[in-house]
Amino acid sequence: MIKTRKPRYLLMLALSFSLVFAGIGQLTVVAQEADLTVKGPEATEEYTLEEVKDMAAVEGWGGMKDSVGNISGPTMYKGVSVKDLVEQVGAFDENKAVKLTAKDGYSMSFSYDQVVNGNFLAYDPATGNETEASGLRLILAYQRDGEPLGEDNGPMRAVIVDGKKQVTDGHWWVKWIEKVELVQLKKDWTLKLEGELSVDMDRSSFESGASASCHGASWTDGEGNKWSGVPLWLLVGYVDDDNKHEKGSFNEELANEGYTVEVTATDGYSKTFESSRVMKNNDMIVANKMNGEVLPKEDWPLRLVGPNLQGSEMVSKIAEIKIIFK
Amino acid sequence: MVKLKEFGSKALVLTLAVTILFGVSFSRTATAKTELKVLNAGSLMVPFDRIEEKFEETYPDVDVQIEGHGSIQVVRHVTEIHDRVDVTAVADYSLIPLLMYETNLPNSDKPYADWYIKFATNNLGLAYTETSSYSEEITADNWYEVLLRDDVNFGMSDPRMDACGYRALMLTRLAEDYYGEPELFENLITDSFKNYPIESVDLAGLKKILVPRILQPRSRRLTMRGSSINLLAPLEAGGVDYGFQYESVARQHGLSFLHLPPQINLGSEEYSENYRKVQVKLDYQRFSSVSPVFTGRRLIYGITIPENAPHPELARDFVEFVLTEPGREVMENSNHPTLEKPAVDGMENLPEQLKELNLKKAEDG
Repeated sequence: MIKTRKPRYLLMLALSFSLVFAGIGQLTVVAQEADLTVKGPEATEEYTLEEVKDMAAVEGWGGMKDSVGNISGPTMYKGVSVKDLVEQVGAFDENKAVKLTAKDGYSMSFSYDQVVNGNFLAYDPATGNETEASGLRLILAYQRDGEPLGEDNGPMRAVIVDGKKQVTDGHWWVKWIEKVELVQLKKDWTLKLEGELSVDMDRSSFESGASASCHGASWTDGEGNKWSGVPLWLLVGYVDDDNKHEKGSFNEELANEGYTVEVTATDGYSKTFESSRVMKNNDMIVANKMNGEVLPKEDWPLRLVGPNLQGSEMVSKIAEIKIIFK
Repeated sequence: MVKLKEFGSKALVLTLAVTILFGVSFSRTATAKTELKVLNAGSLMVPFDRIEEKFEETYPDVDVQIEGHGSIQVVRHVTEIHDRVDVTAVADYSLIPLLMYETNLPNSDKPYADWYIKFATNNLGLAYTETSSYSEEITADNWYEVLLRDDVNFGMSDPRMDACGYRALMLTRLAEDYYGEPELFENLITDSFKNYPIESVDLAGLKKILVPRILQPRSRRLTMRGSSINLLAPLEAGGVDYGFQYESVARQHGLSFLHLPPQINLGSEEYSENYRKVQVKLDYQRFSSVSPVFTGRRLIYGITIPENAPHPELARDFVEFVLTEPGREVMENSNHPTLEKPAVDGMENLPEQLKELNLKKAEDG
């Protein structure tokens, strides 16, 4: 088992001191940089390579098969379990993934099933044919055949090992790893906003706008469900003229002149609303969450809700919000 | 004296032996073959293996080293891993301007490439064998119904890793409109994954396919492999009935191939505008330099010589070989279609030797 570590962040980097006594007696202190960052919802840890080597080690045979079928290995690798690393920074379940990032920005994500159960496709190294494998483990290797990995692959790379000789797909073998993250899985979507401007707003941009510190709004329905998201008028203001996000982005003059806002679902169902009704109305909310969770399948990803809307006006599965100028 | 003489003659023999050895060694060094490193798309492996042989027959002092990868990885080896490569050939020409034009060599104001040549094409369909379930009744009109049958297992390469995979998604989404089957994508693709499935949304005429970070196929129905080449083995072994595959690769491996309509197979010049209606967006960025958004376009292969190629003259000879009769003959014999008239982007930067081939100028860059 990996020994328990308390969160130490940057301050817990091992410090090495180089004392340079120049003619004028200056003292230089050099902090040793971390080789690996492990980040999760509950903590962030940073380690030097030497600290990683101090953790409980896993050894096993590993080799890879590339995208055109060439096989290299297997050879003996030594490293630390990725599962053990991420469990230090948050609870790991099937709604999360492990993202490994290399120093050149290359990244690869692994499922719970892969990291915890070792569910990887394995091949016989002699024939290249698919083979049964159990007990595969994803590790961050720092040693191959008793030697450090070197600059070409190391100091740490992702390797899939087992007690017996097999090989796995090469695309999992990320080299030059410097970051391990536990990330929340989310279904992706895009909202089309059409007006004077045309914008594809993606999920992360919408979520940013829906935060309480930005434009977040909420409404609790008669059944006690709390719907939260962004008021419709703010999304309209994003594309009603060429002022997307500055103060006064909602153009009241245009709204007073009158236009129609059409809200359309992925299946083509739509409802229209006059600008006079939409203008500065915080009770018409484009919700992305119900009771703090993503919307159920019948409403996902967005639903128009609010206290004064008829049931038929609460468009589910919203794909597009369009301004129709008169 | 005798001993001295014996020592003298032994020394002479030793000297001669060393001289001969060094001579042989020197001679071998002098005639060592020049290694020409070619990185190419996995779907070009078969024809490029044969081109390697032919080229080496014509240039006996050259040892061509062919290395196949996914096309993005081919370019990444040059621009991010900094391998010294003589020739790069990719299955999506747009990767060259996107990644090689936009990236300069270290400590230089020169990009990794400032020209490329479109030289080959392909199309996407279904590979299968005689033992595949319903192989006698599958057609270009009913293939999606066959794939949805309970006792049929179909395969595709992972769209997060492989261009053939995200192109299969594009084809399926285009098929929805072509066949007038509004739930085709959801039934065939979305429902084949558990927990976080691939979704498709329509945005004012743009059909956007959203691929999540983690993909978990329902194993009884869909078999997913990291690359289109690695999908061949389960197809041949019978574990997979049908697999989305490039026509050239299917035919090179002796598989049957169901040719799908040009409106959806990503191989037709006539319908290239139709392909642009579909877009695949990955939920995570695998390469720091590659935006994870891919717009549908006709399948066209591109070839170039990196600015830092170790053997630029030989690289030009190799590219000329690929584009002219010897290379075209190999490509045709390998069932890999070439463009009747290769087209150049960056004509002003094209090496003089290749300008003499009278190639046409690419219209769309």
